[in-house]
Amino acid sequence: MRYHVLAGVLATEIGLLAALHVDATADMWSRKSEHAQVRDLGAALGLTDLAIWTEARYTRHPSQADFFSAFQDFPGAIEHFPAGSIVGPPAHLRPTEWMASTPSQQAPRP
Amino acid sequence: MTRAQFGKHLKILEFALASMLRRRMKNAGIVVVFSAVVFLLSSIVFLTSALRAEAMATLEGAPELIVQRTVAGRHALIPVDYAEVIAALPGVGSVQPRYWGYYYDIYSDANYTLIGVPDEGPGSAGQLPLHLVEGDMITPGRTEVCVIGAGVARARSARIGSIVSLRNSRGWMQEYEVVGILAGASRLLTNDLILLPERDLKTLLGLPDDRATDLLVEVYNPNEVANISRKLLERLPQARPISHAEITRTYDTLFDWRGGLLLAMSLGAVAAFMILAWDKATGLSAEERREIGILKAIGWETSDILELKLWEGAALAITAFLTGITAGYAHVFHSGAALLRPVLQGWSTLFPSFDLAPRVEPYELGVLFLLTVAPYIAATIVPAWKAAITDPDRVMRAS
Amino acid sequence: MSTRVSIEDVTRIYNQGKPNEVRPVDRVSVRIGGPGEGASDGGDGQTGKDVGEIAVLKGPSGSGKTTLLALIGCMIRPTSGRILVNGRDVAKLPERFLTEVRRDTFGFVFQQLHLISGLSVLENVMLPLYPLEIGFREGRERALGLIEQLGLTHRRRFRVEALSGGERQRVAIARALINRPGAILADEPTAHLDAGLSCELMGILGELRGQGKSIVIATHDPLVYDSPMIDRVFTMRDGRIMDDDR
Repeated sequence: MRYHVLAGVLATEIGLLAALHVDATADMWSRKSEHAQVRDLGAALGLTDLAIWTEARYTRHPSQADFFSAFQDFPGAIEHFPAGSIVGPPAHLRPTEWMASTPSQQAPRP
Repeated sequence: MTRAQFGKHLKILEFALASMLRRRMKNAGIVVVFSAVVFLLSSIVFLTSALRAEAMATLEGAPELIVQRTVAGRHALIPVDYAEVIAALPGVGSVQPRYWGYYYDIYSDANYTLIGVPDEGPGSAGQLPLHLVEGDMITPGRTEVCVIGAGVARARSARIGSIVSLRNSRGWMQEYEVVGILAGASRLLTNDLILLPERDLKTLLGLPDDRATDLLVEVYNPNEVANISRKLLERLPQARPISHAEITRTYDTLFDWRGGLLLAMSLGAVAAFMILAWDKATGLSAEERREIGILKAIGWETSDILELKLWEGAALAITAFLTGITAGYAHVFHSGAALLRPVLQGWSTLFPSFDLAPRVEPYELGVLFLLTVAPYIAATIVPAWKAAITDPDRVMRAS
Repeated sequence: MSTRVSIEDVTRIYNQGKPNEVRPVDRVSVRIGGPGEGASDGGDGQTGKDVGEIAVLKGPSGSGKTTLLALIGCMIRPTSGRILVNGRDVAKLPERFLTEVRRDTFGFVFQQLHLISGLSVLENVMLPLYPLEIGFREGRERALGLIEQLGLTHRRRFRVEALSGGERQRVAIARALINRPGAILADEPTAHLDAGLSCELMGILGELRGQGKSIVIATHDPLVYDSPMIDRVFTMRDGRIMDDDR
């Protein structure tokens, strides 16, 4: 029966996905203490951001970016750095966010 | 549902598969394209949600409160004596000036982040867990030494004992001996770092004595951060407090696969796929239309034909969806999103490789499923339905 | 038992009220099948036993044969008039029930055969069974039985497009029989057959008649309507029955 073949294919794919997940998860578990160490290192150095995009201040340190950095042109605008391909504007630069946030976050309206 | 009824559905599925196997090249082509679209989208979804999770986990230890100063809308150096004003606020423990900055290296075309390591207090060698430092940490009193991130080490081909020379604010080259390298395991956080003794950093960057980059504020009760920020702003209008909660919030919303270039690219792919699906489905070939007529004429009900088409669409779409998801998962969590790397990297010279903790958000998978499988099945069924509600006698007249 | 169909004063109009209005079937009444009603019935002395019948709808193309055949076979509903299938008025049944009546009662052999290419002989014969609650194995047995009966066993795994015209015709007949219908309706069954194959076909239809099936053939082929196996001939012209020859 062909539907047995289909069921076999789907089951194989699900099994493969599960195996990949188990493998990746087990790998992570084995390095759990390492993750805690990374967190402690970051805490000790007072690091505030991930070192992913080094091309500009506001991509290297999005959480420290001032109110006039590029991301605020308008939320959802395509960033002119390629990093904007998977990051949106930082929370404090989104109009909806700053309107509801503490006075410390007030910025001049664009 | 009785066994016979169940058997009926299985038989229609069986026929659907037999029917699809007749056009195996075409259907295989659709599976390939469909899988590729799901692969691309799921890679982005997996990567962004894993990055978000990673950021939340590693930045859990980020400072409770940082105070910047902004002048004319720009981040400016903060007077060290702000520290006294802030320290006087109730609920505030120590206030420590931090010295850090950026450095553009013409030899590797890369931007580094330079951080000053104080002799004592937060961030000093005594406070650091040393598991992730190969070699030594900068100990109090040492000068002209540095500890570098894995990315810097690679960019400068530096090892422990190597010399890293940086141009100081007067234009002279200043040499620093590498005493330690931050382990690769921490690269998502430390890839581009150069840690220098605080005094060396101030000289190198030419920072005035009475200014720091920002202030690290110790707060006794994290719930008081918002209150302290407000009071602080009343006294120091140029200050800009950044709380731990804000950092967390930033990273919670930062990685956003719905925004930007990748989406624009994948939208193109999705659109092309939708056109393909639409064309395939709406342009029911004369052959398929004829077959629907035949089935109708030999006693299939409209609902049977819709079920047939549902099975055809579902078998193809679900196979392709699972293939795409599996490939996307392997791509992101087993090969570090290698194919997305050129796009993600952009102009970041020191781009860390990803070794992310696997993370799957059922909600996002659900959205992905609805965005790909559902429209495909709909595009298969609707035209079949249109063809199936015609009178069965048409087939008698067709030549 | 053989199937009785009564067509009573049936008219079918296409594009009603428009300038291109046509009435391929106009106030037609015929009765097909059933003991005591067929003309041949008394003649072959088999009264009491269930006897089949072959009726022919004869006429030039465009005379309404195919439409009448479609009306008899519940493919379409009449614009006016009644159609009784085994005594039950089906003219106003909703589509679902009409489909049910059609597939329980009639087997169709289309002029173009309408086999599905790319599928095997066996799969084509089984086509009408897929949406029914009949086990796959049982359906397969039934199909293999018919394939054997029609002498196609050695071809059962062939794709239908690989078969000769006569073999394809027999596949179409096997498919028409798979639901064990009381009546077989054939539209120009000899259109693509040479004289030899046409005779062979008539032989097969004669056998089915012997098994008690009512058979209606729409044709303008003299080889068919002059065949000695034919019980009744209805001549059609411009949507009306001219006379009842036999």
